[in-house]
Amino acid sequence: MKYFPLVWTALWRKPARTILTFLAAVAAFTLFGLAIGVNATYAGFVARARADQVYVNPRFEGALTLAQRNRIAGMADVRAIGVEDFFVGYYRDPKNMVVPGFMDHGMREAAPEIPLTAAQWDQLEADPSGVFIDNRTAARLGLKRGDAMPVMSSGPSRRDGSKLWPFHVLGVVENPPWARGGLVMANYDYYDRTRLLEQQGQVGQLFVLLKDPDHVSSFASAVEQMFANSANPTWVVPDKMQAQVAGSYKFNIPLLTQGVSAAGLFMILFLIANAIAQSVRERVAEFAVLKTLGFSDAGVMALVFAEAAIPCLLGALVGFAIAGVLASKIAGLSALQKMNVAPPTLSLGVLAIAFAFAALVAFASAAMPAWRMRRLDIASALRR
Amino acid sequence: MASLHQVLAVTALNLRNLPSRRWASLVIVAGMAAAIGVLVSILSLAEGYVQMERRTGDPGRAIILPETADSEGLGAISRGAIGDIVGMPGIAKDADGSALADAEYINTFHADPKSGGIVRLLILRGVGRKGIAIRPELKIVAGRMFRPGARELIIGIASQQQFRGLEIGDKVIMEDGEWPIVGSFATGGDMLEGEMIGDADTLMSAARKNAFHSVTVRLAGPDSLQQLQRTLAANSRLGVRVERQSDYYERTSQDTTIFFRGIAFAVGGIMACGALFGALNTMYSAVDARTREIATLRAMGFGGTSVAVSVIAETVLLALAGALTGIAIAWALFHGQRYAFAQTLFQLTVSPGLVGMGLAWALAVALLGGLLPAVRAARLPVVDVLRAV
Repeated sequence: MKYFPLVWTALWRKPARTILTFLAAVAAFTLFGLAIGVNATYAGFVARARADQVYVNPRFEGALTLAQRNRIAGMADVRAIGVEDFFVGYYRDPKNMVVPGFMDHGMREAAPEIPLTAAQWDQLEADPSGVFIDNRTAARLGLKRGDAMPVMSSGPSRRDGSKLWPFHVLGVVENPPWARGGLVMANYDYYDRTRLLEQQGQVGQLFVLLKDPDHVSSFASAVEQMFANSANPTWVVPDKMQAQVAGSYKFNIPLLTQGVSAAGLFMILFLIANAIAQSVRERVAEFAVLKTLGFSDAGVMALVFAEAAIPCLLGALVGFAIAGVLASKIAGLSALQKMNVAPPTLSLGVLAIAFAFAALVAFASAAMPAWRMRRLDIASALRR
Repeated sequence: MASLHQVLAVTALNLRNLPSRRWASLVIVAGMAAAIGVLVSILSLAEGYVQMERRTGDPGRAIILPETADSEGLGAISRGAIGDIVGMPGIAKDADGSALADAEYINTFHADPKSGGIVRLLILRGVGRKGIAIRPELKIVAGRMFRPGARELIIGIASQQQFRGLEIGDKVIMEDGEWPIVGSFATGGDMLEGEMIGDADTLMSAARKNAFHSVTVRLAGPDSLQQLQRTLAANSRLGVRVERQSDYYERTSQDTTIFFRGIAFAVGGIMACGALFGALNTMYSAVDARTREIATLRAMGFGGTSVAVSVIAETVLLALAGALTGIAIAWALFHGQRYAFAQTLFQLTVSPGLVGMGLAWALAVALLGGLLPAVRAARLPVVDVLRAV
């Protein structure tokens, strides 16, 4: 640390070079932070996915039934079970697509990820045509608590023949990161009571919590077998797998982010290597003097590494900060919401990865000049 | 003209001593290669997607959807409504005088990627008797066409290459048992190549459904769309609307295209900034290393402008070399690769337009990166520099 002023002065020998190197590192690490941050977001989904949660879906286009729910609820492995159904519709204009999700009482326990408090669940059950929406949906449709929210269905009709469901907004809740597209949470029993008789008892998806996470695969095959030859075959998806699907269903996120971050690092590797090589070449005599004064070979090497590391690490820090600001800005972009893509997470873990790579780039770029200075022959260097 | 000769002479001189500055020059080449390579790679996603959508949407066809549905597969059109729609004016006629209109039904099927990984849902399209006639681009490349009314399927070549268990003779599990795949088809790289096709009526009875999702028609002439629109508007109880097929695909692909382009330009923009700083650094060093040389040239009568232009020319040449390298790498890695996105499959495409755009970006970065060092070179105090020699 006491040699810091030495390194600092060396850096400011050519201010333009140091600043440009630093700025290039900032650009590279802004990108790196964003890319690794996106990765972290999706890795987080997988990590947070519950090992004991499974979804039972219809195997084919169509629906499951409440009768199937009852049979599965009777299985020994099941701790909690909830049903959800949905339809695709719109609010006022076909452009304002809305997908209300209708949930029954069992969802309180079986789907802890639904962002409703116990009091809000009570409200949803007490006021059947009421819905809770998240703040993204509220902003997109210009709705607030207490507003009427008529939704026109593009599929199922009501028993009275109309397709318009007269919901109203009970409250607005915070958007959870797994549902960037927005949430409309509604009452299943109300929906089931008001829809066509022949569709009554249909269910879009079952949410199941198991007593023992190790039983996920045996439970899955038991359920699939149970209904294999029925009118409504099932497809059982564990939550862990669902979370991976969220990351790779639309496009291969790890491939994209790793490619981008590698390209960014590659770009600055040459730049920093060149800058440090030039800087050392111009100051060979200076290093010879340091050695004459008694600096050890390792000490001289350390000085060269420090000179490369400072712009790299500072660049990583500033780049990370810029990435953080950008991440919070892009979270609100409609293009991202429409694609249901979650914004990057810039956690301390991501910063640590950025620092590690910054140190690696600094080390790789300074290795050659540092080695040359270590082996520097004092007499011939001073003679120049 | 004299100054052009000067520029050429100085640039040639610079390029001749490039080898002595090869590492410094490599910064520009590598930086540009990385920046433009990434830009073009990500844009090849958007380009491939757009090209696939464009090939699918034919301006000579139109799609009729339920008013409540934003895209195919939502909502329902009853059999009764289909009968009315098919008889409407504006729809082209087949040789036998029947309307070139086809009611279609959309379902999905589970597909296992050959490369392993997670099951995908792809589109299973039920078409009627005119489904093939209105799509002359659809050609059976192996096996045969499914027979109307039979529980048989044909598979698009893109899906067949990408997913397991979709060879001719393989069986697909459907609601009412196993259906054999009897043929594979190509459509010249449009969206259908990622889909499976069967007979609409048979698929609907297997799924116990009785309503269609859309009607695709061939338009009779240039005014037919308006004619059809008017007729449908007069029959509002049908609850359907018509859209030119090309407009439909352009509309439904817009979000995806904007998304891919947004990522490409954001990432490419940040990388271009990094490459710009690298270019500035390199060219400042190049000018610094040659102060005496430049001062000597100036003393010999070369103009400041010639020297400045030669610095910019060198930056541009290095940057273009880097950009071409990056584009070549992007092309080698990604061009023609099949990519599965949501329910579609398409090929990444590095089109001539993208190459041009990559080179244009490189040129812009090089001009910016060469300008300031060029000004410094032009303003060198000749006398002071030479006195120091």
